[in-house]
Amino acid sequence: MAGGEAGGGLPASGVDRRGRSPAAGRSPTTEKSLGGNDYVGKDVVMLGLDAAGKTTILYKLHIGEVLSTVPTIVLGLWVLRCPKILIYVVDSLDRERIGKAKAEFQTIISDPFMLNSVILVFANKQDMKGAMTPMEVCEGLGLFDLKNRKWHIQGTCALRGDGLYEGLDWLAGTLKEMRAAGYSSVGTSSF
Amino acid sequence: MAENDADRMDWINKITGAITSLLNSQFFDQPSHITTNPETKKSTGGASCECSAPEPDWASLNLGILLCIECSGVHRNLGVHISKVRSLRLDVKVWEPTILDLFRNLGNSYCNSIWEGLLLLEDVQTDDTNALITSISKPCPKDAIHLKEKYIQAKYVEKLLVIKDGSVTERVACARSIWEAVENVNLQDVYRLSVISDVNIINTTFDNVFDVDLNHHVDAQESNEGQRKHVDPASCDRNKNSNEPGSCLQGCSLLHLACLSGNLQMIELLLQFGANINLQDFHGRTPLHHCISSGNNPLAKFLLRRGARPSIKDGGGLSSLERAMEMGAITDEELFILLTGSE
Repeated sequence: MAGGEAGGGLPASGVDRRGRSPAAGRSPTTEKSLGGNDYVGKDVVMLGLDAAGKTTILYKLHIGEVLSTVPTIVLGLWVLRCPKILIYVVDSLDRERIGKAKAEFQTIISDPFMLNSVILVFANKQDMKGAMTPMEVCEGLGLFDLKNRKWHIQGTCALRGDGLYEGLDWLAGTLKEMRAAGYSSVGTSSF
Repeated sequence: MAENDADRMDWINKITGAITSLLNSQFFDQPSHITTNPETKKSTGGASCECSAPEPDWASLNLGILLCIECSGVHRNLGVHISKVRSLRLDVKVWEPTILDLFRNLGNSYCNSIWEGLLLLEDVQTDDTNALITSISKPCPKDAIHLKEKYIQAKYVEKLLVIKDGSVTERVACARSIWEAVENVNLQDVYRLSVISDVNIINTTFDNVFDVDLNHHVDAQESNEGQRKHVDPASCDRNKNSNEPGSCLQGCSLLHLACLSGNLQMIELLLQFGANINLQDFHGRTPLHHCISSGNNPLAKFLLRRGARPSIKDGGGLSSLERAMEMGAITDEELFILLTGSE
C-alpha cells in the first residue's frame, strides 16, 4: 500500500549529495518524503493554492488512502535551499482562481532559489464535471511560455490516486536523463 | 542535514528566530473583522453554520455563511461550483467592504432558513410522510467528521432540506421572480430563489423569461444559425429615444439589470452565484458597456477588476473603451488604465 514500490522505485537521483538542504521549515504542505524511504526528498517542494489537493495527494501517496482533510495551516518558512523539484498542484475546477494560481506559480518559479528546479504540474480534480483539461491548465499557468525549463503537466484525481504515479514516473525519468547528460547535481547552484 | 555543528546551530537559530517573530507579529491575535463585528455576529449567530461550533474562522463566499475549520474541510471537498471556502483570517484580500456587507445582509440564520427549511418546518408540525427528512439531523461540534460530511452533502449537493416542489410551474415562477427581486434589490429573495430553483437561473436572459413585448422580433431562421448577430444599438428605436441602456432590455441578463440599479452587493451576489460577467445583450453590449454608457465609472471599474473584458465589441462594432471615448475624454485615470490594460 505504501507508495514507494508502486511508484516504480524512484531513484534518489534528485538528492544533492552534499546534503546541504535543511530538513526543517516547510512551507504550507511542503513534504519531506514522497512515499518511500529510498526517495529522501528534502529537495521536493509541493505548492499550490489552498484546496488544490496537496494534503490529499500526500495522504494518497503516503498511506494509500484518503482521509477527510481540513485546511492545512502551516507557517511558511522559505528556508529550503534550491529544491530540485517543484510539484505545483492546481484545482482544475477553479476557473475563477486560475489567474491567481498563475501569478503564484510565476512568482515561485522565477525565485532565484527555484531557477533550476524541474517542474511537475498536477492538474488535480479531473474527476469533476466541468474541470479544466490539463491543456487548459497549461495555458492558464503560462507553461508554454517557459524557456529553458523542464516541465510536465499531468491530469490527476488525488482522491482515486489517478495520475499521481505517472507524474512521479516522469520525474524519475527526467532526473535520470539529466544526470546522464551530465548535470551532476541537478538543480544545485552555488549558494 | 547541516554540514557541521556550527552550520546546524546557525540554521536552528534562524528558524527559531523566524518563528518567534511570526508569533509576535500579532498574525494570530488579529481579530477577524467578520466575527468581531457585532452586527455580523448577531446576524450569523457567531457560530458555524453547520455544527454550531462557536467562533467560526472560515466562510463560504458564495453561500454567504461562516464555518468552523472542520466543516470548511468538508465544504472544500464539495468543489468550488458548490462552495468557495475562504479563511476569515488568512485570506485577507478577499474581505472587501462589498462582500462584508453581503455577509451581513444574508447571515447564517437566513441562509439556513433556506437550506434547512424542512428542518425548521418540522419543529412546527410533525409530518410522518417525511421519514427521509427525520433521519437527517443537524450535527454538533463534537460529532465525528464523517457525520458532518454526510449532513453537508445532503444539505448542499442533494438539497434534501430545501423546501421546493420542483415543478415546471415553480421553475418558471422562480425565473420570473428573481428578475423582480434583482430589480427591487432584494438580496435575500435572490438568494432564496436561486437556491430553490432546480436549474441555474442566474444566467437567464430577459427574453428567456418574459416572452411578451419583445422590441425586436428575431427571425426564427436567423436565430437558428448558431452564430447570433448582434444588432447595432444605434439602430434601435428605444435606444434612440433615450440614452439609458435600460430602455431596451432584450437579451439582457440579471447582471445587466443589477448594473442599472448599481447596487454593488447585488452584483457581488450574482457574481458569486456564477453570473457571466461578459454576457452580451441583443445589441451585443456587456454589463460593462451598460455602465460606461450610463456613466457609472465606479461600477465599470468594479466590473473590470472582476474580469470584465473591455475588448468585447457591441453590435455597433465598438468596444467599451471606444464607447467611453465616444462620450468624451476619459478623465478617470484608473478607469482608463483598466480599459486599455491587456487582458
